[in-house]
Amino acid sequence: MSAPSLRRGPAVPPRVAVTPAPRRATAAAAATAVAATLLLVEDDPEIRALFTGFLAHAGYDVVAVADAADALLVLRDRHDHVDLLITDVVLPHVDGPSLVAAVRERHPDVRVLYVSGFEVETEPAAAGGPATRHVRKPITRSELLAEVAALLAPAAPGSRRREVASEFD
Amino acid sequence: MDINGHATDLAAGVGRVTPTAKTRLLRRNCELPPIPAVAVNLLGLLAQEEVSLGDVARAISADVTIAAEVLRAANTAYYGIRGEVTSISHATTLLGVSRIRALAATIGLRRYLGQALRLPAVQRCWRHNIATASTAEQIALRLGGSPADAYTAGLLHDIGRMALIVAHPKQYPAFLDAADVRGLELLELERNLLGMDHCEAGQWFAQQLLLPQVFQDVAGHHHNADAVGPGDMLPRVAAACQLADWMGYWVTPLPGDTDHDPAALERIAQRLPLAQRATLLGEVADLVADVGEQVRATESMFES
Repeated sequence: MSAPSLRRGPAVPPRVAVTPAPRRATAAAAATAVAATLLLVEDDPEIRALFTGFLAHAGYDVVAVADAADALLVLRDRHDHVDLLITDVVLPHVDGPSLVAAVRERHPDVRVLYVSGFEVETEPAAAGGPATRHVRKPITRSELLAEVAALLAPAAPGSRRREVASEFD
Repeated sequence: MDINGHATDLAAGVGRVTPTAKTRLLRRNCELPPIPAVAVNLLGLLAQEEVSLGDVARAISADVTIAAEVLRAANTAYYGIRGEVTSISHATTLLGVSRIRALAATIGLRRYLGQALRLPAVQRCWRHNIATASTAEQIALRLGGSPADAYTAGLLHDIGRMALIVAHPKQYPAFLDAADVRGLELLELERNLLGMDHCEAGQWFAQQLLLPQVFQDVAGHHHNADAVGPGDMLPRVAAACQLADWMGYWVTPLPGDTDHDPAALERIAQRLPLAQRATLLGEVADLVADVGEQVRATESMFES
Protein backbone atom coordinates (compact mmCIF):
# COMPACT_ATOMS: atom_id res chain seq x y z
CA MET A 1 0.00 0.00 0.00
CA SER A 2 1.34 3.38 -0.90
CA ALA A 3 1.78 5.91 1.80
CA PRO A 4 -1.12 8.30 2.03
CA SER A 5 -0.64 11.91 1.25
CA LEU A 6 -1.08 13.74 4.48
CA ARG A 7 -1.97 17.36 4.70
CA ARG A 8 0.85 19.49 5.84
CA GLY A 9 0.92 20.52 9.44
CA PRO A 10 -0.61 23.79 10.46
CA ALA A 11 1.51 26.79 11.21
CA VAL A 12 0.17 26.88 14.73
CA PRO A 13 1.42 24.38 17.29
CA PRO A 14 -0.57 21.13 17.47
CA ARG A 15 -3.16 20.66 20.15
CA VAL A 16 -1.07 18.44 22.29
CA ALA A 17 -1.43 17.35 25.84
CA VAL A 18 1.92 16.31 27.23
CA THR A 19 1.43 14.33 30.37
CA PRO A 20 4.54 13.53 32.35
CA ALA A 21 4.45 10.46 34.49
CA PRO A 22 3.28 11.24 38.01
CA ARG A 23 5.99 11.27 40.62
CA ARG A 24 4.41 8.51 42.58
CA ALA A 25 2.84 5.71 40.65
CA THR A 26 1.22 3.02 42.72
CA ALA A 27 3.28 -0.02 43.52
CA ALA A 28 1.25 -2.25 41.23
CA ALA A 29 1.47 0.13 38.32
CA ALA A 30 5.14 0.85 38.85
CA ALA A 31 5.87 -2.84 38.81
CA THR A 32 4.48 -3.20 35.29
CA ALA A 33 5.42 0.06 33.63
CA VAL A 34 8.76 0.65 31.99
CA ALA A 35 10.10 4.10 31.21
CA ALA A 36 8.56 4.87 27.85
CA THR A 37 7.00 7.68 25.88
CA LEU A 38 3.63 6.89 24.35
CA LEU A 39 1.92 8.86 21.60
CA LEU A 40 -1.85 8.53 21.90
CA VAL A 41 -4.00 9.50 18.92
CA GLU A 42 -7.69 9.53 19.78
CA ASP A 43 -10.29 11.96 18.52
CA ASP A 44 -12.84 11.36 21.30
CA PRO A 45 -11.76 13.84 23.98
CA GLU A 46 -13.24 11.84 26.83
CA ILE A 47 -11.61 8.58 25.83
CA ARG A 48 -8.38 10.47 25.21
CA ALA A 49 -8.48 11.91 28.73
CA LEU A 50 -9.41 8.53 30.18
CA PHE A 51 -6.59 6.63 28.49
CA THR A 52 -4.13 9.42 29.24
CA GLY A 53 -5.04 9.24 32.90
CA PHE A 54 -4.67 5.45 33.06
CA LEU A 55 -1.32 5.43 31.23
CA ALA A 56 0.18 8.36 33.10
CA HIS A 57 -0.94 6.88 36.40
CA ALA A 58 0.91 3.70 35.46
CA GLY A 59 4.11 5.68 35.03
CA TYR A 60 4.31 6.32 31.30
CA ASP A 61 5.02 9.65 29.65
CA VAL A 62 2.00 10.28 27.46
CA VAL A 63 1.61 12.70 24.58
CA ALA A 64 -2.03 12.88 23.53
CA VAL A 65 -3.35 14.35 20.30
CA ALA A 66 -6.65 14.25 18.44
CA ASP A 67 -5.66 13.47 14.87
CA ALA A 68 -2.97 12.18 12.51
CA ALA A 69 -1.73 15.61 11.49
CA ASP A 70 -0.97 16.57 15.07
CA ALA A 71 0.60 13.17 15.67
CA LEU A 72 3.03 13.74 12.81
CA LEU A 73 3.88 17.18 14.13
CA VAL A 74 4.64 15.70 17.52
CA LEU A 75 6.87 13.08 15.95
CA ARG A 76 8.69 15.74 13.96
CA ASP A 77 9.18 17.94 17.03
CA ARG A 78 10.41 15.01 19.07
CA HIS A 79 12.69 13.74 16.34
CA ASP A 80 10.53 10.64 16.15
CA HIS A 81 11.35 9.61 19.68
CA VAL A 82 8.23 7.75 20.65
CA ASP A 83 8.33 4.23 22.02
CA LEU A 84 4.77 3.28 21.19
CA LEU A 85 2.03 4.71 19.00
CA ILE A 86 -1.50 4.09 20.28
CA THR A 87 -4.07 5.08 17.71
CA ASP A 88 -7.74 4.78 17.00
CA VAL A 89 -8.46 3.08 13.67
CA VAL A 90 -11.04 5.64 12.61
CA LEU A 91 -9.80 9.21 12.86
CA PRO A 92 -10.89 12.42 11.18
CA HIS A 93 -9.18 13.25 7.85
CA VAL A 94 -6.56 10.50 7.97
CA ASP A 95 -7.29 7.13 9.53
CA GLY A 96 -5.09 5.22 11.94
CA PRO A 97 -3.65 2.68 9.45
CA SER A 98 -2.72 5.51 7.06
CA LEU A 99 -1.00 7.33 9.90
CA VAL A 100 0.91 4.19 10.81
CA ALA A 101 1.93 3.65 7.19
CA ALA A 102 3.25 7.20 7.01
CA VAL A 103 5.18 6.83 10.24
CA ARG A 104 6.62 3.48 9.18
CA GLU A 105 8.00 4.94 5.99
CA ARG A 106 10.66 6.51 8.16
CA HIS A 107 10.53 4.12 11.10
CA PRO A 108 9.51 0.62 10.04
CA ASP A 109 9.91 -0.78 13.53
CA VAL A 110 7.63 1.57 15.40
CA ARG A 111 5.40 -0.34 17.78
CA VAL A 112 1.70 0.21 17.34
CA LEU A 113 -1.41 -0.48 19.36
CA TYR A 114 -4.66 0.00 17.47
CA VAL A 115 -7.69 0.72 19.58
CA SER A 116 -10.73 0.43 17.39
CA GLY A 117 -14.37 1.12 17.99
CA PHE A 118 -17.04 -1.44 17.82
CA GLU A 119 -17.94 -4.15 15.34
CA VAL A 120 -18.80 -1.72 12.59
CA GLU A 121 -15.14 -0.88 12.14
CA THR A 122 -13.28 -3.23 9.87
CA GLU A 123 -9.62 -3.94 10.26
CA PRO A 124 -7.80 -3.00 7.05
CA ALA A 125 -4.98 -5.22 5.88
CA ALA A 126 -2.51 -2.37 6.22
CA ALA A 127 -3.20 -2.27 9.93
CA GLY A 128 -0.83 -5.13 10.61
CA GLY A 129 2.93 -5.18 10.69
CA PRO A 130 5.74 -5.80 13.10
CA ALA A 131 5.10 -5.20 16.78
CA THR A 132 1.49 -4.38 16.18
CA ARG A 133 -1.48 -5.30 18.28
CA HIS A 134 -5.14 -4.55 18.09
CA VAL A 135 -7.82 -4.19 20.75
CA ARG A 136 -11.44 -3.22 20.63
CA LYS A 137 -13.28 -0.78 22.84
CA PRO A 138 -14.56 -1.02 25.43
CA ILE A 139 -11.28 -1.86 27.12
CA THR A 140 -10.54 -1.80 30.82
CA ARG A 141 -7.57 -0.10 32.45
CA SER A 142 -5.76 -3.34 33.17
CA GLU A 143 -6.36 -4.66 29.64
CA LEU A 144 -4.95 -1.45 28.18
CA LEU A 145 -1.91 -1.58 30.44
CA ALA A 146 -1.35 -5.25 29.61
CA GLU A 147 -1.41 -4.56 25.89
CA VAL A 148 1.01 -1.67 26.25
CA ALA A 149 3.33 -3.70 28.46
CA ALA A 150 3.27 -6.59 25.99
CA LEU A 151 4.25 -4.31 23.13
CA LEU A 152 7.01 -2.62 25.10
CA ALA A 153 8.45 -5.87 26.37
CA PRO A 154 11.69 -6.92 24.63
CA ALA A 155 10.18 -10.22 23.48
CA ALA A 156 6.56 -9.51 22.92
CA PRO A 157 5.71 -12.32 20.45
CA GLY A 158 4.67 -15.67 21.78
CA SER A 159 2.98 -14.25 24.81
CA ARG A 160 -0.40 -15.48 25.93
CA ARG A 161 -2.05 -12.53 24.23
CA ARG A 162 -3.20 -12.70 20.67
CA GLU A 163 -1.01 -11.24 17.97
CA VAL A 164 -2.43 -9.02 15.34
CA ALA A 165 -0.73 -10.79 12.45
CA SER A 166 -2.98 -13.79 12.79
CA GLU A 167 -6.03 -11.60 12.59
CA PHE A 168 -5.02 -9.96 9.36
CA ASP A 169 -3.69 -12.99 7.50
CA MET B 1 -14.85 25.98 27.80
CA ASP B 2 -15.30 23.33 25.16
CA ILE B 3 -14.87 19.67 25.78
CA ASN B 4 -11.64 19.55 23.81
CA GLY B 5 -10.04 22.19 25.91
CA HIS B 6 -11.30 20.58 29.08
CA ALA B 7 -9.85 17.22 28.19
CA THR B 8 -6.55 18.75 27.19
CA ASP B 9 -6.31 20.74 30.38
CA LEU B 10 -7.20 17.74 32.47
CA ALA B 11 -4.66 15.62 30.68
CA ALA B 12 -2.00 18.24 31.23
CA GLY B 13 -2.84 18.30 34.90
CA VAL B 14 -2.67 14.60 35.50
CA GLY B 15 -0.97 13.82 38.76
CA ARG B 16 -1.49 17.22 40.30
CA VAL B 17 -4.75 18.92 41.19
CA THR B 18 -4.50 22.50 40.01
CA PRO B 19 -6.63 25.23 41.56
CA THR B 20 -7.95 26.00 38.09
CA ALA B 21 -9.20 22.48 37.53
CA LYS B 22 -10.80 22.44 40.93
CA THR B 23 -12.53 25.76 40.44
CA ARG B 24 -13.85 24.57 37.11
CA LEU B 25 -15.24 21.41 38.64
CA LEU B 26 -16.87 23.30 41.46
CA ARG B 27 -18.49 25.64 38.97
CA ARG B 28 -19.83 22.71 37.00
CA ASN B 29 -21.22 21.18 40.16
CA CYS B 30 -22.98 24.44 40.96
CA GLU B 31 -24.83 24.06 37.68
CA LEU B 32 -26.13 20.62 38.60
CA PRO B 33 -29.82 19.94 38.72
CA PRO B 34 -30.48 19.89 42.43
CA ILE B 35 -31.50 17.00 44.59
CA PRO B 36 -35.22 17.56 45.20
CA ALA B 37 -35.65 20.11 47.94
CA VAL B 38 -37.96 17.88 49.91
CA ALA B 39 -35.28 15.22 50.22
CA VAL B 40 -32.71 17.77 51.36
CA ASN B 41 -35.18 19.25 53.86
CA LEU B 42 -35.93 15.84 55.29
CA LEU B 43 -32.25 14.99 55.61
CA GLY B 44 -31.70 18.28 57.40
CA LEU B 45 -34.39 17.42 59.88
CA LEU B 46 -32.16 14.61 61.13
CA ALA B 47 -30.04 17.20 62.87
CA GLN B 48 -32.97 18.35 64.92
CA GLU B 49 -33.56 16.57 68.16
CA GLU B 50 -37.31 16.95 68.12
CA VAL B 51 -39.04 16.40 64.81
CA SER B 52 -42.79 16.13 64.68
CA LEU B 53 -44.68 13.88 62.36
CA GLY B 54 -46.44 16.99 61.10
CA ASP B 55 -43.12 18.60 60.08
CA VAL B 56 -42.17 15.53 58.10
CA ALA B 57 -45.58 15.18 56.45
CA ARG B 58 -45.56 18.84 55.46
CA ALA B 59 -42.04 18.57 54.02
CA ILE B 60 -43.01 15.60 51.87
CA SER B 61 -46.31 17.08 50.75
CA ALA B 62 -44.48 20.14 49.41
CA ASP B 63 -43.39 18.08 46.40
CA VAL B 64 -46.29 16.36 44.69
CA THR B 65 -44.13 13.96 42.73
CA ILE B 66 -42.11 12.87 45.74
CA ALA B 67 -45.28 12.57 47.80
CA ALA B 68 -46.86 10.33 45.18
CA GLU B 69 -43.80 8.09 45.10
CA VAL B 70 -43.67 7.90 48.90
CA LEU B 71 -47.29 6.80 48.93
CA ARG B 72 -46.65 4.26 46.20
CA ALA B 73 -43.67 2.85 48.06
CA ALA B 74 -45.51 2.81 51.38
CA ASN B 75 -48.17 0.64 49.77
CA THR B 76 -45.70 -2.00 48.62
CA ALA B 77 -45.56 -5.29 50.45
CA TYR B 78 -42.08 -4.51 51.78
CA TYR B 79 -43.35 -2.32 54.58
CA GLY B 80 -45.99 -4.84 55.59
CA ILE B 81 -48.70 -2.26 56.15
CA ARG B 82 -52.17 -3.73 56.18
CA GLY B 83 -54.78 -1.77 54.31
CA GLU B 84 -54.31 1.09 51.91
CA VAL B 85 -52.11 4.05 52.81
CA THR B 86 -53.98 7.01 51.37
CA SER B 87 -52.19 10.08 52.68
CA ILE B 88 -48.71 11.26 53.58
CA SER B 89 -49.84 11.86 57.15
CA HIS B 90 -51.04 8.28 57.30
CA ALA B 91 -47.79 6.96 55.83
CA THR B 92 -45.70 9.04 58.22
CA THR B 93 -47.66 7.81 61.20
CA LEU B 94 -47.40 4.18 60.13
CA LEU B 95 -43.75 4.16 59.09
CA GLY B 96 -42.28 6.64 61.55
CA VAL B 97 -40.12 9.67 61.02
CA SER B 98 -36.80 7.93 60.39
CA ARG B 99 -38.20 5.42 57.94
CA ILE B 100 -40.17 7.96 55.96
CA ARG B 101 -37.10 10.18 55.80
CA ALA B 102 -34.97 7.30 54.49
CA LEU B 103 -37.65 6.53 51.93
CA ALA B 104 -37.87 10.13 50.74
CA ALA B 105 -34.07 10.32 50.49
CA THR B 106 -34.02 7.18 48.35
CA ILE B 107 -36.67 8.58 46.04
CA GLY B 108 -35.01 11.99 45.86
CA LEU B 109 -31.55 10.65 45.05
CA ARG B 110 -32.92 8.34 42.41
CA ARG B 111 -34.69 11.23 40.76
CA TYR B 112 -31.47 13.26 40.94
CA LEU B 113 -29.69 10.66 38.82
CA GLY B 114 -32.46 10.92 36.22
CA GLN B 115 -31.75 9.56 32.76
CA ALA B 116 -28.20 8.60 33.73
CA LEU B 117 -29.69 5.51 35.40
CA ARG B 118 -30.00 3.94 31.97
CA LEU B 119 -26.23 3.42 31.95
CA PRO B 120 -24.94 0.15 33.41
CA ALA B 121 -22.21 1.92 35.40
CA VAL B 122 -24.76 4.23 37.00
CA GLN B 123 -27.03 1.28 37.73
CA ARG B 124 -24.11 -0.37 39.53
CA CYS B 125 -23.55 2.83 41.53
CA TRP B 126 -27.19 2.96 42.52
CA ARG B 127 -27.28 -0.71 43.48
CA HIS B 128 -24.08 -0.32 45.51
CA ASN B 129 -25.68 2.62 47.32
CA ILE B 130 -28.83 0.68 48.10
CA ALA B 131 -26.77 -2.31 49.24
CA THR B 132 -24.55 -0.14 51.45
CA ALA B 133 -27.61 1.52 52.95
CA SER B 134 -29.27 -1.84 53.58
CA THR B 135 -26.07 -3.28 55.05
CA ALA B 136 -25.65 -0.30 57.37
CA GLU B 137 -29.23 -0.82 58.48
CA GLN B 138 -28.69 -4.52 59.11
CA ILE B 139 -25.52 -3.75 61.09
CA ALA B 140 -27.49 -1.31 63.24
CA LEU B 141 -30.19 -3.93 63.82
CA ARG B 142 -27.51 -6.28 65.16
CA LEU B 143 -25.19 -3.88 66.94
CA GLY B 144 -27.56 -1.12 68.04
CA GLY B 145 -28.40 2.36 66.83
CA SER B 146 -31.14 3.69 64.59
CA PRO B 147 -31.51 1.34 61.61
CA ALA B 148 -33.27 3.94 59.47
CA ASP B 149 -30.66 6.61 60.14
CA ALA B 150 -27.91 4.10 59.36
CA TYR B 151 -29.72 3.34 56.10
CA THR B 152 -29.82 7.03 55.21
CA ALA B 153 -26.12 7.48 55.99
CA GLY B 154 -25.31 4.47 53.84
CA LEU B 155 -27.45 5.82 51.05
CA LEU B 156 -25.57 9.11 51.12
CA HIS B 157 -22.04 7.74 51.41
CA ASP B 158 -21.49 7.95 47.65
CA ILE B 159 -23.33 11.20 47.05
CA GLY B 160 -20.07 12.46 45.58
CA ARG B 161 -20.23 9.77 42.91
CA MET B 162 -23.72 10.91 42.06
CA ALA B 163 -22.51 14.49 41.74
CA LEU B 164 -19.69 13.37 39.46
CA ILE B 165 -22.12 11.32 37.35
CA VAL B 166 -24.38 14.31 36.85
CA ALA B 167 -21.45 16.67 36.24
CA HIS B 168 -19.69 14.29 33.84
CA PRO B 169 -22.52 12.16 32.44
CA LYS B 170 -20.44 10.51 29.74
CA GLN B 171 -16.90 10.53 31.06
CA TYR B 172 -17.42 9.35 34.62
CA PRO B 173 -19.57 6.29 33.76
CA ALA B 174 -17.03 5.39 31.06
CA PHE B 175 -14.32 5.72 33.68
CA LEU B 176 -16.22 3.44 36.07
CA ASP B 177 -16.59 0.84 33.33
CA ALA B 178 -12.86 0.84 32.61
CA ALA B 179 -11.24 1.53 35.98
CA ASP B 180 -10.90 -1.96 37.43
CA VAL B 181 -9.54 -0.84 40.78
CA ARG B 182 -11.13 0.10 44.08
CA GLY B 183 -10.34 2.00 47.22
CA LEU B 184 -7.50 4.46 47.38
CA GLU B 185 -6.18 3.69 43.91
CA LEU B 186 -9.58 4.44 42.42
CA LEU B 187 -9.64 7.76 44.26
CA GLU B 188 -6.22 8.58 42.83
CA LEU B 189 -7.41 7.85 39.31
CA GLU B 190 -10.51 10.00 39.84
CA ARG B 191 -8.31 12.88 40.93
CA ASN B 192 -6.12 12.40 37.87
CA LEU B 193 -9.07 12.44 35.50
CA LEU B 194 -11.50 14.89 37.09
CA GLY B 195 -9.37 16.89 39.48
CA MET B 196 -11.37 15.60 42.43
CA ASP B 197 -12.22 12.19 43.84
CA HIS B 198 -15.73 11.13 44.80
CA CYS B 199 -15.06 11.53 48.52
CA GLU B 200 -13.88 15.10 48.12
CA ALA B 201 -16.82 15.78 45.80
CA GLY B 202 -19.19 14.15 48.28
CA GLN B 203 -18.03 16.18 51.23
CA TRP B 204 -18.27 19.37 49.21
CA PHE B 205 -21.70 18.49 47.85
CA ALA B 206 -23.03 17.54 51.29
CA GLN B 207 -21.77 20.88 52.61
CA GLN B 208 -23.50 22.72 49.78
CA LEU B 209 -26.75 20.95 50.61
CA LEU B 210 -26.30 21.87 54.29
CA LEU B 211 -26.66 18.23 55.25
CA PRO B 212 -25.91 17.30 58.86
CA GLN B 213 -22.25 16.88 59.75
CA VAL B 214 -22.53 13.10 60.08
CA PHE B 215 -23.52 12.82 56.41
CA GLN B 216 -20.70 15.14 55.37
CA ASP B 217 -18.24 12.94 57.28
CA VAL B 218 -19.57 9.74 55.76
CA ALA B 219 -19.52 11.17 52.22
CA GLY B 220 -16.00 12.53 52.66
CA HIS B 221 -14.20 9.87 54.66
CA HIS B 222 -15.70 6.43 54.04
CA HIS B 223 -12.48 5.33 52.32
CA ASN B 224 -10.27 6.69 55.07
CA ALA B 225 -9.36 3.81 57.35
CA ASP B 226 -8.12 6.13 60.06
CA ALA B 227 -11.06 8.49 60.09
CA VAL B 228 -13.07 8.62 63.25
CA GLY B 229 -16.00 10.83 64.09
CA PRO B 230 -18.42 11.31 66.87
CA GLY B 231 -20.49 8.18 67.32
CA ASP B 232 -20.01 5.01 65.32
CA MET B 233 -21.75 5.94 62.08
CA LEU B 234 -18.63 6.53 59.99
CA PRO B 235 -16.83 3.21 60.68
CA ARG B 236 -20.07 1.31 60.28
CA VAL B 237 -20.89 2.87 56.93
CA ALA B 238 -17.27 2.36 55.84
CA ALA B 239 -17.63 -1.32 56.74
CA ALA B 240 -21.04 -1.49 55.06
CA CYS B 241 -19.57 -0.03 51.85
CA GLN B 242 -16.85 -2.67 51.77
CA LEU B 243 -19.31 -5.40 52.70
CA ALA B 244 -21.53 -4.37 49.80
CA ASP B 245 -18.52 -4.83 47.47
CA TRP B 246 -17.77 -8.15 49.16
CA MET B 247 -21.33 -9.34 48.56
CA GLY B 248 -21.03 -8.51 44.87
CA TYR B 249 -22.71 -5.10 44.80
CA TRP B 250 -19.57 -3.41 43.50
CA VAL B 251 -19.25 -0.40 41.23
CA THR B 252 -15.94 -1.27 39.58
CA PRO B 253 -15.01 -4.88 38.91
CA LEU B 254 -11.64 -6.22 39.94
CA PRO B 255 -9.65 -8.58 37.74
CA GLY B 256 -9.87 -12.02 39.31
CA ASP B 257 -12.19 -10.80 42.04
CA THR B 258 -13.73 -13.52 44.12
CA ASP B 259 -16.85 -12.78 46.09
CA HIS B 260 -17.16 -13.91 49.67
CA ASP B 261 -13.44 -14.19 50.37
CA PRO B 262 -13.16 -14.95 54.13
CA ALA B 263 -9.87 -13.11 54.51
CA ALA B 264 -11.40 -9.98 53.02
CA LEU B 265 -14.30 -10.28 55.43
CA GLU B 266 -11.90 -10.33 58.38
CA ARG B 267 -10.27 -7.15 57.13
CA ILE B 268 -13.64 -5.44 56.73
CA ALA B 269 -14.68 -6.40 60.26
CA GLN B 270 -11.59 -4.62 61.57
CA ARG B 271 -13.33 -1.38 60.73
CA LEU B 272 -15.54 -2.01 63.74
CA PRO B 273 -14.67 -1.91 67.45
CA LEU B 274 -13.19 -5.17 68.68
CA ALA B 275 -16.24 -6.04 70.78
CA GLN B 276 -18.55 -5.81 67.75
CA ARG B 277 -16.49 -7.82 65.26
CA ALA B 278 -17.47 -11.25 66.51
CA THR B 279 -21.16 -10.36 66.37
CA LEU B 280 -20.87 -9.20 62.79
CA LEU B 281 -18.80 -12.17 61.66
CA GLY B 282 -21.08 -14.60 63.44
CA GLU B 283 -24.16 -13.28 61.69
CA VAL B 284 -22.74 -12.55 58.29
CA ALA B 285 -24.68 -15.28 56.51
CA ASP B 286 -28.00 -13.97 57.79
CA LEU B 287 -26.90 -10.42 57.10
CA VAL B 288 -26.11 -11.24 53.47
CA ALA B 289 -29.53 -12.85 53.05
CA ASP B 290 -31.33 -9.91 54.67
CA VAL B 291 -29.44 -7.37 52.58
CA GLY B 292 -30.23 -9.30 49.41
CA GLU B 293 -33.90 -9.31 50.24
CA GLN B 294 -33.87 -5.62 51.09
CA VAL B 295 -32.05 -4.66 47.90
CA ARG B 296 -34.55 -6.62 45.82
CA ALA B 297 -37.45 -5.02 47.67
CA THR B 298 -36.05 -1.52 47.19
CA GLU B 299 -35.45 -2.09 43.50
CA SER B 300 -38.95 -3.46 43.09
CA MET B 301 -40.35 -0.19 44.41
CA PHE B 302 -39.06 1.56 41.32
CA GLU B 303 -40.08 -1.00 38.76
CA SER B 304 -42.78 0.35 36.53
